[in-house]
Amino acid sequence: MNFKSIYKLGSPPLFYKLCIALEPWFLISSILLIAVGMYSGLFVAPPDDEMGDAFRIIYFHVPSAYVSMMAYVYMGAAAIIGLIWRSNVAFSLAKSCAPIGASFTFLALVTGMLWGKPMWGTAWVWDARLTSELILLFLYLAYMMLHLSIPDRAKADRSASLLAIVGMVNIPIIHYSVVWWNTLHQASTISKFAKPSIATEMLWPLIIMILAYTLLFAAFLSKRTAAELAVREKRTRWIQTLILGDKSNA
Amino acid sequence: MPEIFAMDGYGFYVWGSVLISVAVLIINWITAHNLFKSNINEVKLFMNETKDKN
Repeated sequence: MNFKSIYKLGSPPLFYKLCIALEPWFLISSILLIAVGMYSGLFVAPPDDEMGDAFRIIYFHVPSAYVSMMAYVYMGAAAIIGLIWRSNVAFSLAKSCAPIGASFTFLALVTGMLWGKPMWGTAWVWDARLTSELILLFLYLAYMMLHLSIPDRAKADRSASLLAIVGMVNIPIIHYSVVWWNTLHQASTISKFAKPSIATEMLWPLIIMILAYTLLFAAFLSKRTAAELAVREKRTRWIQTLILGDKSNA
Repeated sequence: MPEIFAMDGYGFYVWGSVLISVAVLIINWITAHNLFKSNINEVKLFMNETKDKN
């Protein structure tokens, strides 16, 4: 894919059509992968020597935490592109990332608490990893509230984008918090450069679940971005022609 | 079968995680779908209003 074809993605009609076309594929493949990942994670993977069956929570906690950070990186990148090129597609993408990212962050926190209670004896500690993840949830909520509170859409886009960009500083803090500080939260189970710290039969369901959650995020993002683009572009002929031609939306 | 639900004594935590994850993911999908439908209806309403004005 060269720069010209990436540049073409900034066209709202093209991006809208792409979202509509890809969303069902993302959704179907993620549902299939979740079914396989859940089955192998809950019933096939052997129990952990120290944590027993409680370790199975990682099949829900780790993918949620991964997507919560990935969604913020996308939101920040889209915000930067939006501010530079005043792109409706980029602003729509950034706005759509926020509620999805917030829900995955919420899931990461709740499943983490459900893991912490039996393992640490407490559901919450003000540990660097947990606190920075909680800040991530607040950043998503702040972005959504700021966007809602400004009636002028262009101003709302610009202000919320600035907040999203500033908040990106939290992403490396979350990721490296377990390295930089002495935390109760364990270090990363999977690292890009090191050998995974869990057995292969426990690792595969985790990789499948991470892939499934990523595809699910892509499905939600496609649907929300298409919705956002439609309403932003309602004065243009392309969306009116598309809606008039699409009986399935009636 | 009861062993599956018991999960070595951690059943509440493991199945609690499963339930809350599935619930949040389903809610996510429903809200995205409803947003799409309502925005498409907003565009249709806008089209009808401009048609009436013309």
